[in-house]
Amino acid sequence: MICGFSSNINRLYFFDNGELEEKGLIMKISYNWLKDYLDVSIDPHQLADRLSLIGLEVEEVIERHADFPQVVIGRVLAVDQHPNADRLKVCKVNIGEEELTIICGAPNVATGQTVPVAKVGASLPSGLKIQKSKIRGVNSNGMICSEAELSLADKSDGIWILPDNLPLGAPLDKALNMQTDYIFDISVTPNRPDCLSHIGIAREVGAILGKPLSKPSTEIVEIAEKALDKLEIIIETPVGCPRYSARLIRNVKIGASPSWLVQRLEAVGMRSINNVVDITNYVLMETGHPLHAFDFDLIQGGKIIVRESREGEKFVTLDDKERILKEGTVLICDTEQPVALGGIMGGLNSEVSSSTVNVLLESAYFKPESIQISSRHLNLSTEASQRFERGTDPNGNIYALERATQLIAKLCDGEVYQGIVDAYPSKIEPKHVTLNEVQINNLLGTDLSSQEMTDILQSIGFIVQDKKIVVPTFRPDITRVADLAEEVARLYGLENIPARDIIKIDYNVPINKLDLFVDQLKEVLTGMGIQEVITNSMINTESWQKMTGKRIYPIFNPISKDMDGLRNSLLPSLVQVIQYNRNRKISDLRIFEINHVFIAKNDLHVQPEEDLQLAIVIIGKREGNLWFSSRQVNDFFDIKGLFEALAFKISLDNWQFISYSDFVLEGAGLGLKIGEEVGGFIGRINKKILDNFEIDEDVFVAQLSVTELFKNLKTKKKYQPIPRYPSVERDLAFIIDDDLKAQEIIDLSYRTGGNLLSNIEIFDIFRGTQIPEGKKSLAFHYTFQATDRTLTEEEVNRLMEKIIASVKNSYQAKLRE
Amino acid sequence: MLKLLLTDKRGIKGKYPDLIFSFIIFLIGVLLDLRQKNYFSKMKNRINKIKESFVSDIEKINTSADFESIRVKYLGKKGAIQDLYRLLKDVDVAEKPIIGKEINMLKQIVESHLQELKTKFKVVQKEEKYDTSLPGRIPSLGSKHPLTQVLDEIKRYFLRLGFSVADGPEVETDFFNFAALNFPENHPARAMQDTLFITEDILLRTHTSPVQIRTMMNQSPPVRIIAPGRVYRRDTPDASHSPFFHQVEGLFVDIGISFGDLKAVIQEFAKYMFGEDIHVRFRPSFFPFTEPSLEYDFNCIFCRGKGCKVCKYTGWIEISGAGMVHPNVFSAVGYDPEVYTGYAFGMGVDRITMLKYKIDDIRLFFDNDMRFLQQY
Repeated sequence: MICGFSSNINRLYFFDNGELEEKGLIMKISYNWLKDYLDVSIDPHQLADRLSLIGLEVEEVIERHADFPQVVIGRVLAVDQHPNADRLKVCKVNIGEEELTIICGAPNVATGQTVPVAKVGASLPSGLKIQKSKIRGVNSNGMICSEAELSLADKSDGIWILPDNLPLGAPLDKALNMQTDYIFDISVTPNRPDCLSHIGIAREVGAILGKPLSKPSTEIVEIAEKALDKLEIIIETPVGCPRYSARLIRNVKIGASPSWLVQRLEAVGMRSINNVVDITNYVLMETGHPLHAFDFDLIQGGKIIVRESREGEKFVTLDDKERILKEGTVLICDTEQPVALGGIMGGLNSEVSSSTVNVLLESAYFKPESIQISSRHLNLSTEASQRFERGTDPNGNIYALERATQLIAKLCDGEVYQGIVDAYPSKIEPKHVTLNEVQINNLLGTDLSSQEMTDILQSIGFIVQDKKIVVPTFRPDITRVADLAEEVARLYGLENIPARDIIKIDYNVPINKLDLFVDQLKEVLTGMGIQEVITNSMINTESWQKMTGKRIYPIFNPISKDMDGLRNSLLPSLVQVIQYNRNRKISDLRIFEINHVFIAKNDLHVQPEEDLQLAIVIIGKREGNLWFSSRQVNDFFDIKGLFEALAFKISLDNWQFISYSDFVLEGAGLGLKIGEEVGGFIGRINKKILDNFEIDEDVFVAQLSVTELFKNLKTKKKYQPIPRYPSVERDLAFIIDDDLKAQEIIDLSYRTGGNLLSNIEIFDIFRGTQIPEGKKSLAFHYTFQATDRTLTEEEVNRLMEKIIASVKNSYQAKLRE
Repeated sequence: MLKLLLTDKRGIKGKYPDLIFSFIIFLIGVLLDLRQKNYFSKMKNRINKIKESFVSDIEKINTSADFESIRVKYLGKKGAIQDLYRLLKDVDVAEKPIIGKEINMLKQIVESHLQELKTKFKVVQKEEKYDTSLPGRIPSLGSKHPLTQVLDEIKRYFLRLGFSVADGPEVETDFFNFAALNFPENHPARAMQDTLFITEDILLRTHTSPVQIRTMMNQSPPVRIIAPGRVYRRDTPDASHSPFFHQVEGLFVDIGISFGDLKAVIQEFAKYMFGEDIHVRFRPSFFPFTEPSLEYDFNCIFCRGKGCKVCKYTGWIEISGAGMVHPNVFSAVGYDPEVYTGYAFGMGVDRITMLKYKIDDIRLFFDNDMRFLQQY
């Protein structure tokens, strides 16, 4: 089994990733390799574009050079330490007719290696020119190259070590029979496991170009002895493993792979290990079906038993890690012990090694769901598991098995026992879908005939029997008409489907009034000179909980401690914005945000209550530092005024200030009763909170529930006639206790003044000389107005006297003369 | 004239029948007359004198300071002409109009002369100077966050086509976020590395598609909505990743909705958002909740398709995904997949804003640096 690179299972599957991201599994496809299966008479870059347009997104085309003038085969004769540099070696390299001294810094250089040598005068694909040079006092006449230096790999850990049978001094490209190739990085979506192979991609290329696909034949010369006499396969868990097939090959000579095989594997980013393992990898890349080679001599009892693991069972995989299994993982066992994690990774105890002589070659089909669960439990993702969990072809495993067997016979001198041992208790038959061309045309907005549709489907291996479409088992994603529609659409060409000209619209379009109200709020607030901000909903649970004493909603798998809870107030985020800007010397701010807040319920297994909240915070000077600024700083009455102006602009109805206390506030603060609910508060933020953000100036806040505001808007506004008669005004000042609230005098005045008193304004507040300690002078401007006549002086005087008397009596007030 | 007035006066007085009384009145009248007569000519003289001195004074004006002192001497609050007006109150009622008129005439003469001279001497008059290059008193400004501005633009387009704005919670259940959207049980997209969880079943929505499910469960077709909102992914923040960002998803379900409709709406949107010359490319793709699924690219808005660094010389910029609603999704919400078809599409508000303003770091949106925000 292949212990490939455990590439990440990339996210995908959401519309829009917010940003460009890799999607699906990246499959490396060699352009030259495709030519084994069909006539690819198209420029590689054009082919890449065409593949992208049928749903096989080519993310990159990488040119693989095969032209390396002045780079030859050499052998390292001696490696000595550089006298003046710890990390450098002085190497003697034989390049046929010459012996060169070359300084090399690679950690893996050793005597006896066969290596590529760039001679003086060579020019590498990267643009590097090799010259005679002196490195710390020692002459160097060339360079031993890594694959990266030859642009054959993205990066290399050291120099490239070549097979030993190459002729010294021969040009590298000729010796390795290299051809210029193009490697396509194809992002394969999870519904297309069939495209995780060269044959799979070749099939699609065939459909694009209208060329037939021809797979290599798998003729095998067998020996007389029967495999069945040597091996028995017992499937105890047909649900997890519906099919297990194997071949036995004896007298296998383990060794290095031929260079063509090494080249092919390297082209698709795989390392050569030994000929048998390389062949299984090669066939994986060719057919997409994962194989696994066991050392048959290490399989006890001549039996393969496929069973489910027991809870807590332990197994050492071939990467030498002990894995603790949960119940239900498919295990491949012999009569004594497990030998492989089915469909994921082989075991260390049965690995093919240089001493292996007899090989058991496995080609099985594992259920996707089973591998998905096991791979997740083990947190182990391999080339094999990635394919099995997406769905391999249960009827394609034999071809892969035969192909690999053929190559092992040929390249490792193996002798193949007669027959395949194939346990397949219940055959998985191809699905049938009825072609409904009307439905397909309706879904796509096309006008295709059923002939056009079946031609397309046949081009990618579907079998058409009249209206019945037989779906090949390598396409597990196709189960219904909509799936056929997708195949038709992508191969017909999305660009060829016409866009509709008209849209049918109903008249009764629902209107989201709350959304409109939020838009209005933002217009009003920005119009009042307040800047909108948008902040993170995730905050540090511990610090905010400690500050406010309120519980917040925890996140189970947070990205970091600073984002481990969902905020119950916009306040911490806005104060953070203040801090961020003040650290950048922007200290006068008026900002707001409207966003979701999350109110934790006792039971965290239910969704929290989400409210739409508006918060405004202000800090610093009202007019900034410009030439006309009075340098006055914002205070409580700025935030109060902002709220009052907002309430006016949105026609808020049925609201009043109430007394209010909350840990968030300190000193000046008021609650807002909106309708029957407390819909928010305004005030000065508690210094203890600000200390956490290193803010040493007063910050004022208004925090409001947008939904409460929304519920209490004046829906009907009635016209108020403009007064036709002149008003009468009176100014006076009361000296009252400093603790007395101005509103009380206003309220009392209105009660006493009756209908004719139309307005009261406070135009001055004074404490100090002439006013006794503990008192203040409040100056009021009264306006009297009747709707039906001009008021007489006497009438107004009478009312004023009444008001003065009642204020004096109720509050021990004095008139200020 | 004076005589006439006196006669009038006497006439009035003559109304009294008593002779003695009349006489006394007469005497008083004569005395008064004399006094008045004196005062009258005094005033006239004074007026003439002032007139003469003014004529000679203005001859002597050489500097703006001279001008100013002359102006103050005659027209100032304590100047000669104001003096005359003050004296006028003592003039006999009958003669007041005459003297008044004379003073007015003098004032007019003085004013018109000074007016003439003003242009010559008053240029450097001490008046507040305006340095018009000073910045104006700009009131404190607030603007909508750039993401809001772009979302507003997106909404305007779709509202015009009869779409409604739909919303839903950000903390969702597995059912709405995954199961109803045809995500198989052990689908890799449900894996922990992508999704932020509260409990096994409760999570932060990874897309606004749950709003589609909620809307369809509450309403029978036709459905035509856009669902804007915040979504969350378990990504470490960097220049191109944010653990939360903003999406708009669209959904149109009715009888006879086809891929052709989807193509039209996306194409027209591209033109609306980025210009008439923007083309759209559709590529087949995969999403569990649509079949067929596709991705759409816009012509690179920077090079207009010619090829540049931003589009990696392809001429195309990947925007988002779309497709025809999967029959399993219809079944999950109780719509008959044999009767209805529909399209769905997504787009990233953050991404579109970044493209529109050439912003290269998504974190700028959420740092809320005023120097960034107030550019919009």
